[in-house]
Amino acid sequence: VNDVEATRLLALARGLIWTTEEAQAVHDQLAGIRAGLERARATMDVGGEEPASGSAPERAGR
Amino acid sequence: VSAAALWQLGAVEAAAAVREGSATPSDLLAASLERIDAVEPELHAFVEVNRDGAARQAEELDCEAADGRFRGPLHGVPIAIKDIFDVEGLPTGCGSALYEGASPARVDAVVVERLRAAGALLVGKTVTHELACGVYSAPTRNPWDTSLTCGGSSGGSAAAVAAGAVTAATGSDTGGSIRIPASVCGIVGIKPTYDLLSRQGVAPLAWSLDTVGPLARSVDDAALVLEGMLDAAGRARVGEVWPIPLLELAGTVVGVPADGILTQVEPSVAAAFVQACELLAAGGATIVPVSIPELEETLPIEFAIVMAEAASYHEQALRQNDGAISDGIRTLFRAGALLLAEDYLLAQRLRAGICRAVERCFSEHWLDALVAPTLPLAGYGHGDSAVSIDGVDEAIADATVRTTAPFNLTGSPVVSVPAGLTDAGLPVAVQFVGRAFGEARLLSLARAYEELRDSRAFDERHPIHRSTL
Repeated sequence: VNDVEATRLLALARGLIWTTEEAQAVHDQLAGIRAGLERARATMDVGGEEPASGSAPERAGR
Repeated sequence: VSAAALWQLGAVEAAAAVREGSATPSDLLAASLERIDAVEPELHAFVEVNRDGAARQAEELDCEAADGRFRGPLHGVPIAIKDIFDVEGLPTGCGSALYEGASPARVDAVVVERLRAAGALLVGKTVTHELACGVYSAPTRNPWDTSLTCGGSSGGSAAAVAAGAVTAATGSDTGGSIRIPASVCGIVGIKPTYDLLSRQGVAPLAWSLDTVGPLARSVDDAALVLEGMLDAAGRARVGEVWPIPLLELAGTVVGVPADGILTQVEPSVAAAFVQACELLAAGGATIVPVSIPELEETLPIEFAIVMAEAASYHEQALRQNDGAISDGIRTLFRAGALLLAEDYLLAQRLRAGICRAVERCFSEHWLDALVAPTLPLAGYGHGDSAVSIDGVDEAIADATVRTTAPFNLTGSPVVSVPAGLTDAGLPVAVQFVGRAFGEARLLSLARAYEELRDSRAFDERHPIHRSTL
């Protein structure tokens, strides 16, 4: 099973019925976001840090 | 005041006219409707003009004003509401086929209720980009140049305000949806601190980023409407935001990005931004170059959070009726439905890193505000999907959001103020970013800039000074 088919099957398991073409579009979108997040993780080095709690402004230091 | 001029009044002037007795709320409504009739056939900013409801409301406001009773600072001021906010008696369409035939809302959204309590005259509901998730807002056109889009997602609100159809309007901002249309339509937009204003009764896009706020034609007008939207808890956090406190620019410290995504802009935008910084410096502000490299990572973090939260909110539609969602948004939401929890949480952890970086920048340089171009480009067309900026090709959606979304991630308050025109006569803007709940000081700074700005050419070409578009 290739990545696109795996995406389609994963969606199907969640009750979302997509064509291969639709699964390809979603796969591409996810791949782009995950690559971006991994790039950001490498740059910002958040590994091991616990997420801050509270609202965004509280996290911003208030 | 003649009826012909009433639609040109800003919110502050309109409120004053009612208090002074030189105009009634019904006069202001008549003028607003007259202007809507003149421009709407070309503008397409409204999904519904609530003529009957507004007329009834105006009559009540007339009687109260005649008795010397004023509900609040917006008594009789015509305002439009973005069509993702519930307004009692009207359907909330969200620009989406998902909500076609929706029943009228039974109660107002909390901020709409607040506006009503402040005396605002609710004229109608404005076009939003589908599900508040996009930067075009078709079919609404830009009143500066009707061949261009008004931006989005609060595009109908921005176009209506810029054209003089209403004095002010509400918008929402998840990745720039107040500031983007404010910038391309040449008006002021305020994205308040996250959680300052209630989102209850407003359809969410991504609830950990969503913020509601006002659009108006001046900083003073926008501040007045923000004041009207605040509840007691909000006012306790920020104090009064109108009248805007006076501020001496001397002694203020303003950070200016020295590199990175906030500086990668079209030459015409860069020129206007440099001029804005020079004005602030000439006015006495200390300008400090700053660098926040973490902001380079904004887009994947923003999009991961938006897609996951939007997929969660629209889960039922994705299972049962996703054909009613247009292609690009559907793919984004579908991807959100398959995004792993660890990816979403990674995005939130990275977001916390961006918050820390911005806070560190403010603390290290003792900043009162960070100032940056609101957008890297001026107007764009409905059919434009990509743009080349500084030799780099990028999607319009990425280009518009990369300068605005960092401050959705941090939850910071931001005020976008027009900064002049390009050679082609299109508006560009600068955004002032403040500390959380620092709205009053931020508005003071934004207004100080607005007063310094040489706006003659801008004013001459503003749609508010044209009888037709």
